[in-house]
Amino acid sequence: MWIIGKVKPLDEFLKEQPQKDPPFDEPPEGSNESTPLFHWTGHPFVDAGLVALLLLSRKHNPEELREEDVERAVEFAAELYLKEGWGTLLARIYRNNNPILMVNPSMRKNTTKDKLEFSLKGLFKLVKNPGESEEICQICGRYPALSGMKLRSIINTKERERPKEITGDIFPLLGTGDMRNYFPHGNEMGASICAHCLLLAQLFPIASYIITTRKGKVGGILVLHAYPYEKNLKLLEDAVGSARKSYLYNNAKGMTWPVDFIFDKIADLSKRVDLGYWNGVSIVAYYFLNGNRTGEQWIYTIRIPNPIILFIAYASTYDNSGWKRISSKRLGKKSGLHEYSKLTSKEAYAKLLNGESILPYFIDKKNRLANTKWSLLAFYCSEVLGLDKEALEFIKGVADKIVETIEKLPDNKLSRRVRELERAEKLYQFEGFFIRVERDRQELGVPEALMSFDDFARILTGYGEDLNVSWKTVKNLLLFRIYEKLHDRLMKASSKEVEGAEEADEEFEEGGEE
Amino acid sequence: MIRVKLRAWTASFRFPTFQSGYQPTLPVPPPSTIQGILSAAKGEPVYLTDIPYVGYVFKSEGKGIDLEKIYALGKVETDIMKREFHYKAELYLYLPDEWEEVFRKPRYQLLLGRSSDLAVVEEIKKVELEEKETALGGTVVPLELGLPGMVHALVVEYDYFTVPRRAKLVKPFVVLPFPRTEAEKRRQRVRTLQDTELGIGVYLHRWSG
Repeated sequence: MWIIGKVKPLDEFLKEQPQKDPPFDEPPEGSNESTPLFHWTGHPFVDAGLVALLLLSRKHNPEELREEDVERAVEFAAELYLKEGWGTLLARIYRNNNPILMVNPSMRKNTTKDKLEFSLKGLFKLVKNPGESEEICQICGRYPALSGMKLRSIINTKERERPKEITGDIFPLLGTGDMRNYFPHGNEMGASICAHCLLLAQLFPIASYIITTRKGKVGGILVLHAYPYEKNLKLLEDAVGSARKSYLYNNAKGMTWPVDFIFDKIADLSKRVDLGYWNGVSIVAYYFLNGNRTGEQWIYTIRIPNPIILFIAYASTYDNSGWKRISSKRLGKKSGLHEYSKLTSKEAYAKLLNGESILPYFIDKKNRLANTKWSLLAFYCSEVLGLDKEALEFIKGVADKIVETIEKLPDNKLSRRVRELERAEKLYQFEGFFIRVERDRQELGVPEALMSFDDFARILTGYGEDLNVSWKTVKNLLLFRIYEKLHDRLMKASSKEVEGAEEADEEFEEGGEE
Repeated sequence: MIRVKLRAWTASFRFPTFQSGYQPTLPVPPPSTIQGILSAAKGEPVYLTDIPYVGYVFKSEGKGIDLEKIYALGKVETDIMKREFHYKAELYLYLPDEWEEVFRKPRYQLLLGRSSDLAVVEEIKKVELEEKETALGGTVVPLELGLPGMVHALVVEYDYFTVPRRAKLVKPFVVLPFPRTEAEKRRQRVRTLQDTELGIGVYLHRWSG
């Protein structure tokens, strides 16, 4: 125990308070079938370890796990972790002095399957008989925290001869034993974690995806954590499958960007399930390294909100080629300000995760092409942007009336009219476009006005309250519909574009009059 | 019921088990931070399990990453680490009336995270919440509510009767950031109490049983 200088009076005050016993839930009683051996916790690493255990045992719920399942999984892990490549990987996950898995190179040469099994099975014995402690686990809140002494007793290395705290070498990204700052009140014994969570934390590498660099080195470890918990089984089954089938870690299809892999994973899974499978599901990915070298301890949390999951699922199954066109633009050097720019290669992915609109990606202005179908655009607007379905239908109706008008124009005039909309960067330019189309309608003798004054006001404010955002959103929606309907004619007329361009510029300068 | 508005330039809420090197912040404070604030205000350990109810809403204008020099406890050594923080933070606490006096004269300094995240009491106001269909956000809610979001195990309260302190109650929660857009509001909707002035739902935690 140490003295914290000036804080001593507070310590004295605290000692005067009556001591309270922390409330433990009922501890598990070994193989008693009514008490599950393992539980979901809400911690990504521990839950991924449980997924590994479940998938290796070919079971779906923690309640189904039996002692023999755990022992078989532990034997498998002991064999797996000795295979080539896993030692290096484990040193990136636990730092290289994990005494349970004997990750340190100096231990590694003497490591055998029996020794690893001894430690892991010893940890499992502590799961079955957690004993007593004054502290509860800070992860599951269910079982007594494991003491350094107890942990030492199950380790089959010379590490058992010296104190061993619960730190970053056996549970990733906890602080080190040398730096007490990282633990509540500078606890010398590290974090308060129970045997249940520690054992699962030794197994989670099996259920992790490894993002590698182009040269094949470990770039980071990706752990996917979903709720409802059962969804984790589908998300991580490929990782566990690689370990089980070929004793290899899953290198995320060779993808070098974690977000690209996650989006691809959701798209891939969506081919096998209904859209409803994703209702209410959220995914958070944890991408990290916990190595020894300076700067190697970092973590990114990547939150994939439910509407984005639904959108990716819908886009990739309904119009995969269109979705590829939408997401094909790569992040440029200027995109460094995006929170996710270090984690993806694609602009649309970074924007989606940042909560920014990707509406401009639905159209290809250069080729005057709609990149997908209106229905996918509508799904995006409704589910991700939160655009009211009525507002969307109204805009679609206006777009159809514009199409009905301008398709009657000769090619060069049609192209010019669309270009006016494309180039509208100021509100008055946008307004001017409607005035010209209205005039076209009158000249062409199209019955009924393009829209009423009320409709016009609505089109400017129908999408949110931010006027600057709203009309540009409407502009993109109108362009999408025009490209969708008139692409062929617009492309045919494109040869006449250059001639008309200067003329169109003049129109804006003159305040919108032709 | 009163609403206490706290404001701070910065706020930082560590993921409880990501304690090494780079320290990302949770999108909203965990319940244990609320326990810390209430304890600091009252000047003695406060337990959320002893309070009939507590609700909170947190929002900030953005996030940044700070380089922080830390001094090792118990030895002459320093280190540099990266800490993610919220910028221009606001925390609204919903508490029983008797807490008004406590926040009029807080006993110790109020912090939204670490010692550098100093907060001030900007307003204490009596409020009435209305039950209706509304968006929740800027808070943590129990899994049973069925809202999609980031799930994480968090400490509800620490036992301050020991040094070092110990986790007393730990639960998994859905961590819901404050909704920024109408789309986000729509996906975080549920029938609950609403603070009509702020236009946001307030989930009242009742850990007292």
